[in-house]
Amino acid sequence: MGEPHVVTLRATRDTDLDTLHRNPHHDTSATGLVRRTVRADGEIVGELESVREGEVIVVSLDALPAELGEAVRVRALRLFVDTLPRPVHAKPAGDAASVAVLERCGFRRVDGEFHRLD
Amino acid sequence: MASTPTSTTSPEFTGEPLTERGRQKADRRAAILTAAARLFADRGYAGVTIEDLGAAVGVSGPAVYRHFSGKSAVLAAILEGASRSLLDGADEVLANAPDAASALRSLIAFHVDFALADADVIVVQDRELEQLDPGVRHDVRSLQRRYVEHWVATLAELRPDRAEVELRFRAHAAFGLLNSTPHSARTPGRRPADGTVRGILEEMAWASLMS
Repeated sequence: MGEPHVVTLRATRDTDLDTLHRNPHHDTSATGLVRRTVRADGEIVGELESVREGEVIVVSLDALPAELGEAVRVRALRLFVDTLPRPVHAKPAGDAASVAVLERCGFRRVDGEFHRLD
Repeated sequence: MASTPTSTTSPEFTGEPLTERGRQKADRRAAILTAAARLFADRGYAGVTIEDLGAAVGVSGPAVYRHFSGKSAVLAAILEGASRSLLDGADEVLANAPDAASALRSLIAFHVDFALADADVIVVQDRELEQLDPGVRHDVRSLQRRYVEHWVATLAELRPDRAEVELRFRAHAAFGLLNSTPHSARTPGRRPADGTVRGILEEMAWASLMS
């Protein structure tokens, strides 16, 4: 499979969550929840989320599957993080590869967490 | 359904292999176009600066110039991209439809996809076409005319009894109906579910063309 020509984000719609088999009510109580649907050449492939924890924005990679490959995950995360206010932290997903994705997007491990250093 | 129509604000694909850097640039360009369509629709072309466009995707104003020579180039890319992808989509529909009736159904479904996904672009197209440089405006108009003619030709097969001017008039009226989404579809939560909206628009468009 070749790399997609273009990776885009859009405000997540309920129908996107159906496509991704995610619960529409998942975490809606979280503070400042931002959800973006990730599309590769128009096809829905995952989702990125952030919540506010105190002064910090925390990004989750849980719904950006490892099967997408590092390159697509990096492209999506970079677009997302650039639109967020600082400071930004991130939680890696369950897979080891997500750590590399975070590092390529400018996150560094600080006291067991990942912080974006800008 | 796992796939949704590719946004008309996507960059044109050249088919050439891109480097990783090139792909990131394409992602950024597409993000700028999507954000620009939203900002132009919300505030009007005149009310948006290059800095606003950059801020919407998290880059500086000057960084936008790596992708576009200026604000008018962004507007041109949105409107030219939309009219080109509509025409390409209609070409594809007509190439694959077994008969005129299914061609018309597919044209309607295709245009509904566009109207739901790109309501911002419809607003910008309605309001800001005159802001384009004459050359670009001419290109956009010519792409739009060819798109309309696909509809007229399909209708002419279904209703050979009707004059072409009437069919063209009906096509434009149907676009008015389908392109109503900026008034209904830009605030999710204040309209019926996507599937319902789609069904209503398709049914109404078919009736308006064939009544």
